[in-house]
Amino acid sequence: MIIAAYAVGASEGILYIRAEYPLAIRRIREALARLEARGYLGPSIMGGAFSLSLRIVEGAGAFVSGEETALLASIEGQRAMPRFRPPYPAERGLWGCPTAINNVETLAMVPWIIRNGADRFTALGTATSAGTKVFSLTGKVQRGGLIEVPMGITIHEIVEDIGGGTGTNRAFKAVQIGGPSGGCLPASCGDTRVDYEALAAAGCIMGSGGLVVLDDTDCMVDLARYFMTFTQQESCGKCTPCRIGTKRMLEILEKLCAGHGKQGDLERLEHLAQTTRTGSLCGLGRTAPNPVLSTLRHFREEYAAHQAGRCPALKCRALISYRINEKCIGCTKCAQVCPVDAIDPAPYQPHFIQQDKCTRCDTCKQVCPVDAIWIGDTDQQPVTGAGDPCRD
Amino acid sequence: MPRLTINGRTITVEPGTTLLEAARCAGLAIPSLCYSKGLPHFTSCMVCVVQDKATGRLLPSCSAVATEGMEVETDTHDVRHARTGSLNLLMSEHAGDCEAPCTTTCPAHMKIPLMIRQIAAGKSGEALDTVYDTIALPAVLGRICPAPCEKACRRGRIDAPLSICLLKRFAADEGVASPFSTGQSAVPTKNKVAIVGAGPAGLAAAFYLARAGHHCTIFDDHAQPGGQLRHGVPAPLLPAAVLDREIDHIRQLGVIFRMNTRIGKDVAFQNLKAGFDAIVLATGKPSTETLNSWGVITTSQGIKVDGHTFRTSEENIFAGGEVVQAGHLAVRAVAHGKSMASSIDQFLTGLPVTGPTKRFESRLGKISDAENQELLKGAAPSSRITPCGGSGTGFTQDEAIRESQRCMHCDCRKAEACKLRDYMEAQLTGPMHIPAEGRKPVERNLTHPRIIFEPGKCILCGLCVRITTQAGEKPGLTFLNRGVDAVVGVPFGASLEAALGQSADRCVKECPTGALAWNHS
Repeated sequence: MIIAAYAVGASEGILYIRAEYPLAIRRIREALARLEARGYLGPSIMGGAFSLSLRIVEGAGAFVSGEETALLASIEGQRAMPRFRPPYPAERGLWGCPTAINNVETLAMVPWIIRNGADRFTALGTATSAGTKVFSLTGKVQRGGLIEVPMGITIHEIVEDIGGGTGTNRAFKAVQIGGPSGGCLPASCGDTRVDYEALAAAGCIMGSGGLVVLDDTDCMVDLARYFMTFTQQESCGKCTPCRIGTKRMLEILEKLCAGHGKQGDLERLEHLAQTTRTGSLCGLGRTAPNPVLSTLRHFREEYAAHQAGRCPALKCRALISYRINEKCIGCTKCAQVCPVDAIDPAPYQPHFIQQDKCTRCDTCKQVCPVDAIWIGDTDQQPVTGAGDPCRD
Repeated sequence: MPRLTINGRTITVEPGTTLLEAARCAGLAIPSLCYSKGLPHFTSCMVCVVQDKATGRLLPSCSAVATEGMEVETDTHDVRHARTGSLNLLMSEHAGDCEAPCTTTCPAHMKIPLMIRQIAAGKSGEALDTVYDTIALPAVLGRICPAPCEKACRRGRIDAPLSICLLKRFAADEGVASPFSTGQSAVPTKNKVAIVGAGPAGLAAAFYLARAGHHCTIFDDHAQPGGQLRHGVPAPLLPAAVLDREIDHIRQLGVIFRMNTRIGKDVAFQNLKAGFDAIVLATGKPSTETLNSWGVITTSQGIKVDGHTFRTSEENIFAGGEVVQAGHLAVRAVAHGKSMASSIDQFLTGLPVTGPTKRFESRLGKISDAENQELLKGAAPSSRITPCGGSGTGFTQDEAIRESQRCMHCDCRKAEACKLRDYMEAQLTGPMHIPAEGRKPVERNLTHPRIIFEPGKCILCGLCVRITTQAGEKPGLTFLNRGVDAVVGVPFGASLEAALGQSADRCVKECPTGALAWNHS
């Protein structure tokens, strides 16, 4: 950041960090103090003519504050609402002054590039997306955490080689890449290379660098609903398509997950997604429909199943029921843990679950010593696919 | 100075000019709900988008600045899709009726809440003007109308509906209408219209045609005009004197009554066609033989007409009342009369015959009890008033005012000054309907002495926020919350009056919907 400030001739720098990340703030504060103590920051750095002061601004957490114009508004004490660009911050930024604004990951690359040379940097990655990228690898993966990978690596390499596979005996189903406004890629697209162009072509974005691995017990409609809940809440509420479009999409997704889907819902979803994507003012609204559009593209049959009242992944609570099969030894463990007393604790008798009481909390399934509890559709028929007792 | 092309037309504008202003220079109106000259742009409604030809990107024209060589299109498929999309989304959460249920239920679509506000303000003349706007025979209908409007009145859910019919009677009996609404100031044209039948439909058609300056002659085979009003209503309900008074009024407008004249016997129908520019058929239910003699297409119901223009299969023959639709509802016949008059006026002045203006209507549909209580705010708690003179008599001035104070005013105060309604009307053929189940709750803030604030109608354009900020109002209005929960509100628990301060007038004027409106207009 000091190098960047020197490059653009800035005399003041701000590190905008969410107040909800106290550890990050504490570390940066410590780092700034040490830099100042050693003369790398402050007036006349290292005795030269260049002076720079850096300070921390703690943002009151809002996803939209990651949008650069909203971030600047937030620093100015305004409501964090994006504005139309141009003018770009480089022209008119903080307090109307030209402002260079970069993500910390970008700035962190600078010393390495200067130290090792641009050639070594561009040798990493692909022709159009040079260098490396940091991802937060989470979900159904054996080894999760922060990973730095060269651009151009395939999804499969990340999931299998770095993550060590799903770590369960379940099949790798998809990855959600780019955070809440990223897109989903099915396992069949595992050869997709992680660079800006290839991801965009697949309907995804690099986004916030989130990479969630999903297995076949994850429901894609539920996933889209989950992310839409997030973006809908985090929309600043300024422009019509984002504020209302995300809400209307969420309503449809919630109804699908609750088994109240209607004819035409998928077309309505697509229409709303299109309106929100093309009409929104900033990146948040423009990318918010990505989870919906990408799951509709790759997992449309799951949506159709929800419309018909079935959740193929057996995830959506309103569409599933818990049952006990003949393996039951009558140990009463399930009845003891059931929070709503939906199971009669009759010792050495085969147990059964009262469907009207059951909240599908999964607790019984977790404690059953003989794996006698299985999940099926609400119409009581075991379904093929995930959770199928016949296949287990 | 940048030169740009808008819809193929090249214009030069001052540096810094926005695309919206540039388009206006080129004579192109761009719809926008959140733009106001002189205020910092805000880019929220996204209705003003235009398309950049080079990139295909949609740009909010209120904020995007014209640059040299730019090529912009304002009416592409993408533009229309985006504009309609945003408008439909705004409508999907809009909590308000343009017109009150009483008005939408009234076959004549009378502006009932407006009439009631005028009565409450002691302006019975203006109230009568409002009645005349849709009902040609106010005193008659003030006595015999079965008042379907009262069944729709939301006050009925609280205690009892407003006594709308008697209030109309009060306006008719006590009000002195303006020369315009009674037709006395009409400028004569050269057009002649023959009206067959002197019943409610024919009389109403004659009234509105005469009010527009056309020469009308009414033919009827009875000795006295009035049709079913004279021959089908018991005298105690409708005294002949009341009917005569309203017919006299129509006569004074220059309408000629040719009584004891049967078309087809005393005057040949062909002569009407030859001697008049347009013909109104309002005979009530005639015999099949008579129907056939007019040479218009008929159905088992009667004469076949366009349901909105009341035009028959002949371009200059119009028909209304029982001759097209069975049923004894006088108010419907009167409504047909007005619709026919609108269509004939269009026909005679060479305009496309589209009938009376049909406006876009935002409808709340079913509302909860809590919402009904919101609408009740500001209405007098007193129970429905019956005239002290007993049944069959009308309200005294005091009674009329007290009864009118019970009205909940479910209509929108800005029904005729709402940009959202105007734009919806212009783009009725939206690509897809978005269900409005997620609309905002009905909410009314009446804490300001002159202004009604209805957050459910707010589209978050931010105009009032920017106006109060620019004017330095303390505290002014502000945005609260995020996402779909974002609202415009008063910060720090201050009063709406303090927040609006000296900017109240401007905020009401600039508010593009009925969210901020004068309470007593």
